[in-house]
Amino acid sequence: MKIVFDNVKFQYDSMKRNVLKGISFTIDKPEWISIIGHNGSGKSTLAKILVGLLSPTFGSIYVNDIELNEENLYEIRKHIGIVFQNPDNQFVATSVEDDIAFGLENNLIEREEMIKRVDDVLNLVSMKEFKNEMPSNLSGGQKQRVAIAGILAINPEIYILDEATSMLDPKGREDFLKIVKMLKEEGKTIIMITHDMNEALLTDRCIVLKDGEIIKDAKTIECLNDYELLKSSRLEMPSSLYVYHELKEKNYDNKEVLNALWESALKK
Amino acid sequence: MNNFVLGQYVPGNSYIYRIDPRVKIISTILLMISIFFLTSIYEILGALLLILIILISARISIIKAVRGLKPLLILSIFVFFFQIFFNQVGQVVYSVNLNFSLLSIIAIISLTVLFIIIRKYINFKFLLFLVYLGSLYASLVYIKTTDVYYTYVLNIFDKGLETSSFVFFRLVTMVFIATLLTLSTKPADITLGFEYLLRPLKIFKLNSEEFALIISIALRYIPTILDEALKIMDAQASRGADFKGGNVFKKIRIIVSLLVPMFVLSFERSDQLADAMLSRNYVPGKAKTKYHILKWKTFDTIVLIMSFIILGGSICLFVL
Repeated sequence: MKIVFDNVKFQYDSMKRNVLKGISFTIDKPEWISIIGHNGSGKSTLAKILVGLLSPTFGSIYVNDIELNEENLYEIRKHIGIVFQNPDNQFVATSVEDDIAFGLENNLIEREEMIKRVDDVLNLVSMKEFKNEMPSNLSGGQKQRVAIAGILAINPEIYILDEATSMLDPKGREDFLKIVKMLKEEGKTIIMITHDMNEALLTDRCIVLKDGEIIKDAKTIECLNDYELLKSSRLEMPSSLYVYHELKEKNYDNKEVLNALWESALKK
Repeated sequence: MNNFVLGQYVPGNSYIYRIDPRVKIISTILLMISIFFLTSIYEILGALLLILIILISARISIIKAVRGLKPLLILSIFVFFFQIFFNQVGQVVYSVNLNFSLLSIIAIISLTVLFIIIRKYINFKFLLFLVYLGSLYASLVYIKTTDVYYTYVLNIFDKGLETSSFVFFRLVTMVFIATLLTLSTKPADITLGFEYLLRPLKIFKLNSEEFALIISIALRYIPTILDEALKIMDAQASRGADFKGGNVFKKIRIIVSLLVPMFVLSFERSDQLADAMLSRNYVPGKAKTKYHILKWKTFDTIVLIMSFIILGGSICLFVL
């Protein structure tokens, strides 16, 4: 699946300035991409444009060389799933299984197939024993796992995670990222939107947004090496990475220490 | 807090849980209608006995059913006493003089003050209320001083007693019937039942699926929003807001300060939920496949027929 953003601009009705000022990038092979930027850089707007919740004020988006418009939107949404930030505000149904079935029902999947898929994805996200549980009895991490299970059931090629882990505790985040890694191994495209360098570290490619513009689109390793970029885009980063860059800037040249710091930053 | 609305349902696996929700809803309505055809206290007691038998045979705890009465307790007690005081037909079964003297009025005032004070610190408010009523009665009857201003002769008539217990037990029976439904059926199943039952309304352009979705979203968000309200209350209490004390005007102001953030947050929430639903390909009014379907079984037919027989029986009793 190929996605092309061609000079996409976006402006909210109520605001004078553009939130996105001409975004262009291409995704043409399964990869794990992070879109990073501080608050207000336009990254969540970008996510909403990707799934067609907002349409750009200027520019176009091509999915498999077909321009995204009102008519083909529903067809394309079958290939793109999104998990939002707040675990509570995306849980539609009164029980876990019903919530997973919600998307399947909308996509007109046959009932027998639905029952099978609900069971399958619950196994995948290890939520089997919570099948009939009400959302109010689940933790944030469990709700996010149900959210991603709901998308897994549709089996799209592209998963967008819009700060999906930012409201979770460390354990919940770890469990969630485990599922994401599994998806990556299956060869899915994952677009992770985050302001946290710790998460972006896991990805192959990173797109850095600042004030509605892409200031860097490169391999994640390259982004990590660019201290000016990290500083100017005001991102949270692993402390070892911070120390590594600070030491380097002050011309500290003990290779062993620097290497150790670099390794530990990447391991995270 | 979850017990507030969703906790009504008690998981179980007796026969009543296996009845189709559609049949349960219809039967509940039929049984409630039948109650209105009953005219004497004995018939009502018979109906109550029948409901109790159903409750017990379905292994539903009577205590839980009685708890369902709680919101209606004050109403039913009011109705009960109203009938006793004002329905003066038949023979006098009990007569007592209520003496209003200086001492008894002082006693009444001090009892009321005491009741209001104690009420804040005690859990069994209803029991306290009964004790309060009892002591009011006692102070009127047994304080006999010479300076009686006014004596009210309270006559309790047999018909009054009968009507009041008739009304009281009718209310109890109705509540038990409703609780039978809510205790044994998940809210999601009740919604599903209504969705099926309201399908014929398509002629009037009412889409029962959307209607059911609205109800289920409302049910799903009640605990979430209650939680949020508690958090806001805590946040405001930590900044000095007082939700318990104060006069009516202060209370209204406090409630407003709770409602405003609740409204703002709920709109935000619904925006996000709408986004989540749209991104999962929800299109309002579009046909969907169904994950849950209801299957009619022979047992459902039997239950439905029995409900109709009960309705028929009570109409017969009414006519004959």
